[in-house]
Amino acid sequence: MKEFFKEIKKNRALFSMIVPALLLTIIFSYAPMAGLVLAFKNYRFDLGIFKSPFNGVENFRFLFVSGDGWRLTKNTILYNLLNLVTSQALAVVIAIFISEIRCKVYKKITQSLIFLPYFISWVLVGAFALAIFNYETGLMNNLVTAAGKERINVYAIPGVWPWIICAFNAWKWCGYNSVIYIAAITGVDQEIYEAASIDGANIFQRIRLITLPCIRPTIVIMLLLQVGRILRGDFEMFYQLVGANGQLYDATDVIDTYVFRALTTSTNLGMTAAASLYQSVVCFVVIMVVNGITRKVEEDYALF
Amino acid sequence: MKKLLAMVLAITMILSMAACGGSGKGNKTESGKLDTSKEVEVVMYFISDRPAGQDIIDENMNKIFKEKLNCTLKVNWIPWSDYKNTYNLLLSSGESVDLIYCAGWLGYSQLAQQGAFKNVDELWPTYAPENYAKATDEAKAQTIVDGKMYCIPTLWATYYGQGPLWRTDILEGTELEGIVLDSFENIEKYADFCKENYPEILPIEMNSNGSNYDSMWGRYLGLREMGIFYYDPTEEHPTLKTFTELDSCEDFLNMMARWNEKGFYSKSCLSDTSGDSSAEKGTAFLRCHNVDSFSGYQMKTNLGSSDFQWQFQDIGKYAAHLPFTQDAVCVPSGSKNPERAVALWNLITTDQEAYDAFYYGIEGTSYKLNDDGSVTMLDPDTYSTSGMWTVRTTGLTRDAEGTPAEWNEWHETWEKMIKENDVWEKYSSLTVDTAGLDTELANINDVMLKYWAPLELGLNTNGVEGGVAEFNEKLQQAGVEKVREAYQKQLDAYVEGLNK
Repeated sequence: MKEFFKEIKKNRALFSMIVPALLLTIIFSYAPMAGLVLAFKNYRFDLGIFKSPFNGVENFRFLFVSGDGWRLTKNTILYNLLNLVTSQALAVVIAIFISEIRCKVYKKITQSLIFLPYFISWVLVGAFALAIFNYETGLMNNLVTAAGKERINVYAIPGVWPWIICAFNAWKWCGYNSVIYIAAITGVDQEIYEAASIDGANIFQRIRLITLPCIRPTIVIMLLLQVGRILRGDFEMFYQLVGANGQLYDATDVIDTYVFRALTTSTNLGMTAAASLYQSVVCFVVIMVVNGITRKVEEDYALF
Repeated sequence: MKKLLAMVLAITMILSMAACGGSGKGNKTESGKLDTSKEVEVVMYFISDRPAGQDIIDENMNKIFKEKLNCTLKVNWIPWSDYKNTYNLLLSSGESVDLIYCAGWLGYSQLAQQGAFKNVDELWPTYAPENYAKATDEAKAQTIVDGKMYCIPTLWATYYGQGPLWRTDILEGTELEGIVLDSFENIEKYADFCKENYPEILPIEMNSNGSNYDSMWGRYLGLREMGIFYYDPTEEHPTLKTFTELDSCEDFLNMMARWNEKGFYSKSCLSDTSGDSSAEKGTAFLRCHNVDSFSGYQMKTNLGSSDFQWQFQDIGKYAAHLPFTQDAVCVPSGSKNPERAVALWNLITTDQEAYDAFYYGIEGTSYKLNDDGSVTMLDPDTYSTSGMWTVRTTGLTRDAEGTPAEWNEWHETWEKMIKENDVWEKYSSLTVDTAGLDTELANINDVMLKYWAPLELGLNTNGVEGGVAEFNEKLQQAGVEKVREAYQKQLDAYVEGLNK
């Protein structure tokens, strides 16, 4: 205890610097956690969060009573894994391409164009998707009929949707994610590249043997950070692309969309709190497992 | 200039306060025990977006409120973009709110059960006596949750009417001219006609909001709804049936499958989240909705901003009022000035001057009165009537300029139909108590969207029979029987009450 105060006294400048960050975390991440108690309560507005009566695990029942809970959890995890891998891999590829472009103007334009989708809201992306896949007037079916083939009703084929959603997600996020990798690549010592060229390494060898190993820590950390969000389906993406099309739900439902659908007509705050607690707990487990594996394989890369 | 304005304002304030001193006593005796000696600010919330020109409206109406009740009104908006979250958070935040918009579709009875609102059993008749007197017994019965009243319902009668509204300008000079779409056969005939003459347009408006053709079918047969169930009010002891248990369910589903086959609406309609009104824009010819939508569309034409001609037909077999709790106002349990708030509500809904100032704004600036008694909003971009719908009151609300004659005709027709035959109307006060059914209802809600919505539009891939079997199975899993049992009990109790 004495040593602890000594430590604080010694580095008070440094400690005072982390105080704002610490306060923010406590206020916005730890304090609201008390509200999770709602998940086990029958909430009453006049009694407030802490005085409302407990009702056990009643609030969690709606997630599992229909047998959908596991399917939803599975969908959510698989979607995020797929999106995680595709969008990050694409971002790395784009970052390497862009950093290899030598013409400055062309480089800037390309990067801006790839970055652009990040600013487009999902509402608009949903409208794009409908304009492409619409059965009667969609771009795709116009091309298909022009080629003399039968129209395809994409909105009745659940199997293709994981790939469609994955493609839109990658298109929207890759530009944004690539910025971090571009920064990492810029940080690589240029002398290594020069030495390699002198030794006769071609561009592919340079990428494979220098760029990729150098940005590996960044890739691992980015992946780990993204894993933390694995149970948080990007609600807007799913909702805007799929809409109220029940036929696609088996393939496209994630926890967020299900909760939204089931509870739109309800005012039960306890049930929403239960869903969010469930997400958080599964998230926590996933992070601990992934981080544990990382630590086993390569201790330096683990988050903690 | 500003200083001058401030001085003028200050003087008006002092004067109005002085005036209040005089009239305050009068108010006291008028509305019973209300004590207006202390000036208070009443805080009101409703769901809408803040109009750009609200400031002068506030100033104008508060002058009146100050003079008559020694209070000011602070209006706050819950934006449509996130109303569901904001609404519940607001009620749980402990912020002092005195009046808040509520409605059946916002979960009025559930919220009341969860203790969000003050009981108005005493408040309403004591501090809003004129408003209370104007409300019908039916309206009062609808506000009751667990034996107590928790809201003041609107005084504006709306009707249980729904049906097709369709373009008539495309029919001129054809054999279908003058057709009235009062049956599903005629709707199909009309859509066939459109398909034939305008093959590039999908005749029926349909998007991810889903269809209400199932509910229209029920009305057409003379059935009433309770949650997802239907019952026949002509029976002595009505029993609740799901749609698939109706004898004509298969006919309906076959018809819809045929409509889908014929391409009356898009096969991708359920994924269309744009929610845009394609009929209004001219990219569809027919929409199933209500007389207010019809009136809005036709008004545009009457005022010259559209060339389309519209017609509307209620497809229901009988008529009834919609619950008056369709729009209501509640006093949240955290309110600090419930008495003054309710008295203010009384003033706005019974006094034409206060009503006009609150709802229409300032005469000459935001609206003008026409010779025929209708009202024209002068600058709808900065202010177009208040978003607080509950305030609309039969007798105080004026016709908007360009309102089609049919709008008033339908209201008269319905009123007459209700007087002649109360087969639907006598069930209007039946409210649904969902206590203890949250889990089942959440699951049923999901099943309806997931299995019923595509099946109803003929979009499911496993045919009518397979689709019905699957839907029924999922509905059972979701716990439909528990809900049915609870609802049937309530219905039986209601019928017993009727027969007393």
